[in-house]
Amino acid sequence: MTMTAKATADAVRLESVSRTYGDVKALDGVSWAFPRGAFTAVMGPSGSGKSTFLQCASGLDRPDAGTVRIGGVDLGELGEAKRTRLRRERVGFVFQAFNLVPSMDVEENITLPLRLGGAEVDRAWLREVVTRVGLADRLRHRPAELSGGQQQRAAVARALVTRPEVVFADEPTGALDPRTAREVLRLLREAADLTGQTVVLVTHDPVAAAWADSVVFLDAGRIVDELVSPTVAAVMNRWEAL
Amino acid sequence: MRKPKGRGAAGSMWGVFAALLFAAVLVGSCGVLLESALRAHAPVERYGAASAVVTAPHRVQERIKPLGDAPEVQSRPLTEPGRVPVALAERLRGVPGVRAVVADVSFPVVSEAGRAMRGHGWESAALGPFPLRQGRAPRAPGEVTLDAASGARVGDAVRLQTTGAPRPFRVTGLVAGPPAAYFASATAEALGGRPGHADALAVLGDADADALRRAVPGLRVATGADRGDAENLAVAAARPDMIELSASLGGVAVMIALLVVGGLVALSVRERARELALLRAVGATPGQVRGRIVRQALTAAVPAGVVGGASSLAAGAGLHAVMASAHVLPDGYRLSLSVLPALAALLVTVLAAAVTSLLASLRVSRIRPAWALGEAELEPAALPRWRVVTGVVFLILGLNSLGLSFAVSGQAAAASVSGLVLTLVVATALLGPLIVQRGNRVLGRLARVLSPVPGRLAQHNAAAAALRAGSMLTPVALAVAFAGTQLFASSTVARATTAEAAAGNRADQVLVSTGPGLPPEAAAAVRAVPGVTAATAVARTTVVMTVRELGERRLRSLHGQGVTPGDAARILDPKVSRGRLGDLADGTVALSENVAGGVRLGSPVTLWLADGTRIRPRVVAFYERGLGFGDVLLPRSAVTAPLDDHVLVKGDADLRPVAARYPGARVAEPEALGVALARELRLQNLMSWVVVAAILGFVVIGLVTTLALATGARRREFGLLRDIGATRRQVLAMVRMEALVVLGTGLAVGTLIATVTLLAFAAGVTGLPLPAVSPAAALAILAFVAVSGTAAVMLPARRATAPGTGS
Repeated sequence: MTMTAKATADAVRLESVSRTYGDVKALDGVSWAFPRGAFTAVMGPSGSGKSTFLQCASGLDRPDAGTVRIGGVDLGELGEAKRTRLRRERVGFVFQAFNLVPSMDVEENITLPLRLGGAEVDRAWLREVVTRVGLADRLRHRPAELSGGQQQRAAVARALVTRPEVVFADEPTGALDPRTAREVLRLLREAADLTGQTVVLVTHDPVAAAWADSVVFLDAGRIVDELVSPTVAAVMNRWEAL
Repeated sequence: MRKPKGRGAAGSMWGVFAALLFAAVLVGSCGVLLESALRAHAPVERYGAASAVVTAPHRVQERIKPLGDAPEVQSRPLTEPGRVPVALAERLRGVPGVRAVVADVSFPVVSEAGRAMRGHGWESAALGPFPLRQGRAPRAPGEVTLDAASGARVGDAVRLQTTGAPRPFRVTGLVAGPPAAYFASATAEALGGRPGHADALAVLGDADADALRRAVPGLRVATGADRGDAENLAVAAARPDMIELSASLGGVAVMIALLVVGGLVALSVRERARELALLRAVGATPGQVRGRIVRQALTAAVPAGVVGGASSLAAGAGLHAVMASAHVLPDGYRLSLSVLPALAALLVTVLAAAVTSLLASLRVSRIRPAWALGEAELEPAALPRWRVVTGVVFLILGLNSLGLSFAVSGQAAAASVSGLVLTLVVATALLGPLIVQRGNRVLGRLARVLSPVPGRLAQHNAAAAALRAGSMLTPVALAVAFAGTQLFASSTVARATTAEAAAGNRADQVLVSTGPGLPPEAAAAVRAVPGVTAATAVARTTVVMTVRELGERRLRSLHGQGVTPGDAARILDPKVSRGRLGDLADGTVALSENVAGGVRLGSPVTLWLADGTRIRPRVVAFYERGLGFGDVLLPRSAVTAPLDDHVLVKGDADLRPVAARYPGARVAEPEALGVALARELRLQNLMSWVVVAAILGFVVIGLVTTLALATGARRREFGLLRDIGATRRQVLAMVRMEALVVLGTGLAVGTLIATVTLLAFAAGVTGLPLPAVSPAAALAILAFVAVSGTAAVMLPARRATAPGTGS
């Protein structure tokens, strides 16, 4: 097993990754490296392969060809259970919606990955995380009792509670109003700045993308462009060009 | 992990809980019946003072070697006491501790007023003990001592009918105890009709049971509660059948529980696919998700098993009471209650939940964590190959045994009906989605004609969500198929039996009895009446015989009749297929074609009579009406029963003077026999009605919870439809049309299974593929299932679309 964490420069590395669904080539030989502690946005029109990119990069799905490494570990060599365990320990997820298990309260949802791994909950760290996302007084609430923004903040807290190397966020602000969206994006930005998490944000919102260190543009299953230190205007310009 | 308390999971868990609860009650009730059957002893009354009772064995045992297997000993219970030589009493008296040995005989006695008693020798009064209240013991042949409740007084002259014509006796004394007539010993032995023999040798005193057994090898020595079985064989005789019945019922209940609960658990897993995918995404391994599903099922199963198991004791006791009061169980067949059936019910419930949830959780490996991301369609369209293969195997298995097992006799065929139906329903459960797709082609088109826009949506939904629709189909088909076959299989047998009995009866009039029966000399008296051209006694009995079924030899208890040789052939028409009924004489027998396997005309066959006597009569005829006449026709002289059930008479002579001579006897039309037979069959079927009601109730609970769960989980989808502009009416119409497709397909499949099974059953049992189906009852079953199914779909749909609950 190659789970020994080598201190590689890149948190996530894709090499010639392809994924086909039936006749559709969702990913066509994509290679990319996400440097440690960087906040990267992945943009592209619908059907460009954004979601497939995220699923393959995070180990949720297996590519048909190519290799994906997280913290130096080749996911292709891992079986289902080991891949799951690696995801639990090194990856955090924030989805667009239905992020939380409805039958569990906020604290149970946040600590779910820890409990799945049988790990002790570090109370001090948990308190810091929930304070950072502003849910310290909502821990006993059920997801149905929270607003959409609060739910997404709980999801961010769950993604951070295991101190993962990388946080994947799939359109986390897609269903939120601009103000709440800003809060969630600020939390992701802080994850990269304060605790050194690598953040990969999939979005089609230029405003959201502008929070990142760099923006990668995806089209028809290939990476077509990169924009470093983006501004909203610059992102919109490139977007128009696609 | 903490236990889930949410609404979604809890809702489906309540359904699983309800189904498991009912399963536990059903299994536990069968357990109560089984335990009573295993432990039942007739109460000890007449042998209360006897320390041990020696009788002939209570069952026939035969070593049978099945093809290719090791030989096994099969046994059947006897319905009449065997004969014990009185001479053996001397050997028992030699055993240390024995104070006295009483040779006990027992025979029917009827007073002139029609009061039924049992006749014994005077010594038997000491066994109760039933002390003299007044007068003295009988000494002379014409003397009798009656029980005090008889109303007679010492010195009265009474006429008593024993095994012969009524005779006058003088009452010498009165004793305590049950209705009985005690005669001088020699008189009793003569009246009992088996000189030199007794029904039992009762031992008074304090002797070691093993020493007694050594003294009389081959005989049965009963002590304690076991003595009751020596006193009253009916309870012991009913036991093997009750054991078989309650065990097979319990088996059916377990299988149905697996089907219903399995469907529910699978459905609840499917409805929670997205939540499970989320768990997988944030780091739950497939094993952890499986464990979670199984644990959740068990949190419903344990309380359901405890509550259901405890209530099953009451339900089983109630079932026992119903059967006892309807005389399906013999008098003295007592209820035996312990915690064992409740524990068994708990165990079965927990195991059923564990097995079905484990099976359902296998799907989890197909739930991809990536599903948690999108809004994509979660329902995988294709059926896994193992499911199709297993389903086809079950289908072939069911159809194959359908043709095979009904080719044999009625007893075996009737027993195999529910097993066959369940096999076919399991095939339906596995192939459900494919069946719904087929049904959707036909019924979906109808739905579109009925209501174009919602109908099109419904047809599309039923096709797209075939897996969900498939699990809704199974309980519907199960309810219809099970209820239909159970009810109409028994009515088919009942109709065939009464029809055969009526068609084969050429009598002009019948002498019947309201008491224990007619003495054999009544038939002779009838035959002597001028104008009577033929008369035959009919004494019903039980005969044990090895019967070849499906190539295997089995020891079976068969219904038989003792008839008067010669005259019987002129009155009875059992539809002889080979040989001649007129050849029936002492040392011969006629058999029905049902039990004719491996027996040749003219060759001897081994039979055991009701008291265990082994005879080897020659077969002189085979006949087809085995249901109406029983499987064995014997000369009356061979039958051990002391009394005849009735006398069939040809000729229009006035029999009333003869009837007047025998207490309880009267002249009736031959049709009266048919009415009595039909009533008897209805009673026998009572058990199957109770069972059908219980199991149908269970299936409907499963059906309702399954359908309600499947519909309630679609709140989101309904909300979406409302959001994009569908009116509430349109959404409800769509659900109604979907129900039409799914329920309609389920009803059709259930009806098909029932029809195929019943046709084969009727062909096997009655020779013609014509089941007795009452259209009203059939419609009632279909309507009941359709209405409860529609309600289970529509009520949750109404609630889910009610104003104010939109997305």
